[in-house]
Amino acid sequence: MKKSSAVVLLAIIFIMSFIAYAAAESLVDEVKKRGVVRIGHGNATPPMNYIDEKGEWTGFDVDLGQAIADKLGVKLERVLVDNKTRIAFLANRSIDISLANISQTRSREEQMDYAEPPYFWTGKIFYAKKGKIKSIKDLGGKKIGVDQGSNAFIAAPQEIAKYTDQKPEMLSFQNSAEGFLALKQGKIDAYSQDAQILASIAAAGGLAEEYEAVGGAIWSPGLYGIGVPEDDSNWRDKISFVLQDMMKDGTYEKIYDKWFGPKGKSPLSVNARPRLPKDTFGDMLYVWPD
Amino acid sequence: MKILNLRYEFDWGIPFREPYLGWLITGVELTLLIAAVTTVASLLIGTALAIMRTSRFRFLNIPGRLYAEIVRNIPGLFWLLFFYFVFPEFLPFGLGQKLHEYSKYSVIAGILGLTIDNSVYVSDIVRTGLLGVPRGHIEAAVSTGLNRFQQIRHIILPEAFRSILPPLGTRMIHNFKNSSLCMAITAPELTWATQQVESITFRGLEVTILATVFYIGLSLVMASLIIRLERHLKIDITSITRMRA
Amino acid sequence: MEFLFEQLKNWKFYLIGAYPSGPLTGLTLNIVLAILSITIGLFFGIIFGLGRTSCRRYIRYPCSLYIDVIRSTPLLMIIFWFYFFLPVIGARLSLFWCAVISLSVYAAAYQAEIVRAGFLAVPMGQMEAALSTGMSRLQALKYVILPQAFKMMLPSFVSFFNSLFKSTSTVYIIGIVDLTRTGVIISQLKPNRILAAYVCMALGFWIVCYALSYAAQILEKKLGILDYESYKPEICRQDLVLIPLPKTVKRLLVSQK
Repeated sequence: MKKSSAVVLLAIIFIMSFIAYAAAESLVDEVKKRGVVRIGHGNATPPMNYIDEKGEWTGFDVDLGQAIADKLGVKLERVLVDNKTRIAFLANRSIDISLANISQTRSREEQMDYAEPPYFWTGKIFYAKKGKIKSIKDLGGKKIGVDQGSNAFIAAPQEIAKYTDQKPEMLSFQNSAEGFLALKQGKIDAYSQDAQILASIAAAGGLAEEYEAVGGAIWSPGLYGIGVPEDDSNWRDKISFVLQDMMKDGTYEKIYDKWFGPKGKSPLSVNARPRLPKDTFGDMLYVWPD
Repeated sequence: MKILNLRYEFDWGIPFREPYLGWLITGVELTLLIAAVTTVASLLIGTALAIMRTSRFRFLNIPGRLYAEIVRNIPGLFWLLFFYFVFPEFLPFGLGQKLHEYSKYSVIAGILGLTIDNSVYVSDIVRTGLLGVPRGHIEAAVSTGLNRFQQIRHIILPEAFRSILPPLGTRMIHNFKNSSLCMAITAPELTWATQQVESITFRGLEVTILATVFYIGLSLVMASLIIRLERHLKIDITSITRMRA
Repeated sequence: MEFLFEQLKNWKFYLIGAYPSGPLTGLTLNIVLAILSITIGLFFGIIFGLGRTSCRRYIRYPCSLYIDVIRSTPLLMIIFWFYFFLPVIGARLSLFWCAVISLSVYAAAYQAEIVRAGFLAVPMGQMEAALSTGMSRLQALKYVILPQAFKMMLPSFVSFFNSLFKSTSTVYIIGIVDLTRTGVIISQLKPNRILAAYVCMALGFWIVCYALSYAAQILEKKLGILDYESYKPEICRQDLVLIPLPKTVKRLLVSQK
């Protein structure tokens, strides 16, 4: 009898050990005490965060996360999130930092905060087969794919409605790579996602030449921010200053060059660093002065 | 210490607001459609497969067994992905491209995949039923001059189905639940709708509760219908023997 | 065929991913998930299964409720519940444990039904005989009833393990890199190799499931149980095997009994 109740007790402890109750203290102290920072990354949006051919988790966000953990002087625990959970997990404090290509939007701001400054400049494009669709106006009545969890599901029809009365048909995929495959197979006419992600997926398949942005333009500019939980300004400041320090001392630059520089894994022709206006400030990064 | 620290405020307005309500209604319709079509299709294919597998002829027997042995050991999700992404690539005469471009193909792929998966389990169940028909009944049918087809149609299948109704029903409920997997291939069914609401509003708890209640409710209704049907079809053996006596 | 061999060079990615240096992915993850969840599920399955046969209502009703509710909810829904809404009440789970727990909850309900059926199949007289020798109810359960019941349940458990193993592919949808996701990633990296990637993916599942159904068949023959299908349609399987396994493998499977 005693033995069996001990087994039940053990089982309960086993379950409870996965459950930690939320503490009221700031994450700054909590992370220091814990010695581990939990950073959420996606795994299906190259070049920001993805699984490569060898099965390694890699990408710009992943490297940046590693650098942040090093700067904080704590161990890094990577947590897998996806487009749907990258914000939900912050809100329920399953992760301390969300580094998963999150564009800053107002509706997201209600659930989370962003560290300052944004760390990457990008924008949503409609990606389609070359020459098939001339302008955004022609997208009316067409099938458009987005990631499930992307704000484009609502925003893209609104954008298209500016030019034409025909409503597009929206499909939402579990990740961009699946969406691109569907685009290649002709299941959708255009895919809406951030420009560098689509370019990178197409380049991996050797198809970059066959696709283009509709109208050659970004329809919705976006700035990626490092997500931190809502209502924890100490933690937010901490991460902001860590990011800014990295921008000052060249860590950020090194990671940026590794991914997007001319010799990087996914070279970009434009400068996607968050920077101050060129004619006034030269090409300075946007960092708060001391 | 506060043990339950709910970080969530319920807003029951969300499921009843447009466009969320529209997504949920389409989701329910599509879930029901997929479940109904796959149930009927897998019943037909499964029965045919079971007859093939119990057949004495090798050219029927071996393909049936091969099909069952291949499909049974591969997850249903694989078949959904396969039919959505791979299958049209290998169709001749540009048919594949037409399928790719057909906007409801995700639903068709879902139905195809679930049918393929489910029909094997159905054929397993039907096969047990077929093998369970007493030898004497078949001999009796032969002696009354029924041919092989008539035997199957009038004697073997009715008897078999009566005995396998409960497991068949459970399988169909399982199939109905499996329709939720179709969200992986963009079919906008109920689970997809809940996830879509979650991903737009970050407040998916209300819709998920509703969807779960829907799934549980319909499963229980189906189960009770099956029990009723079974009672209705049951032949009371004691009354027959009493009559004979 | 050639393109298949090209894929097989990627065997490490399909099987374990970048395991020692990175996260465990691929087929091994499916197997680990299935083993962990069937073990945890067995523990709770016995509790709920025996609870459902209890004569006390306050035990029987909650157990029945649990089993019925879980059995009529899609696995995907259960996973989403743990994925999104367990954190709402303050629990912090990594994705892997979230998958393990939701699969365990799912498995517990199905295994409870197997346990119940096996338990009811043991003749009532056994219990009475055990009690009359002066054993307590718990002792009788432990030394007399459960060993017999387990013998009858064993083939069902192996078949259920087979079914659960296939169900682990559902975690694909929440982004865990299992064999399904691995295959999809490879098919997307090289879009002209899409069929090969899918064939490899299917092959991985097929081999494991086939070995399991072979084991179930041997167990069935060894234990001489044929009529367990009537109470468990979910795990229904037939005694036909097309390709005979090598004798060494067969011996291995038999000796594990």
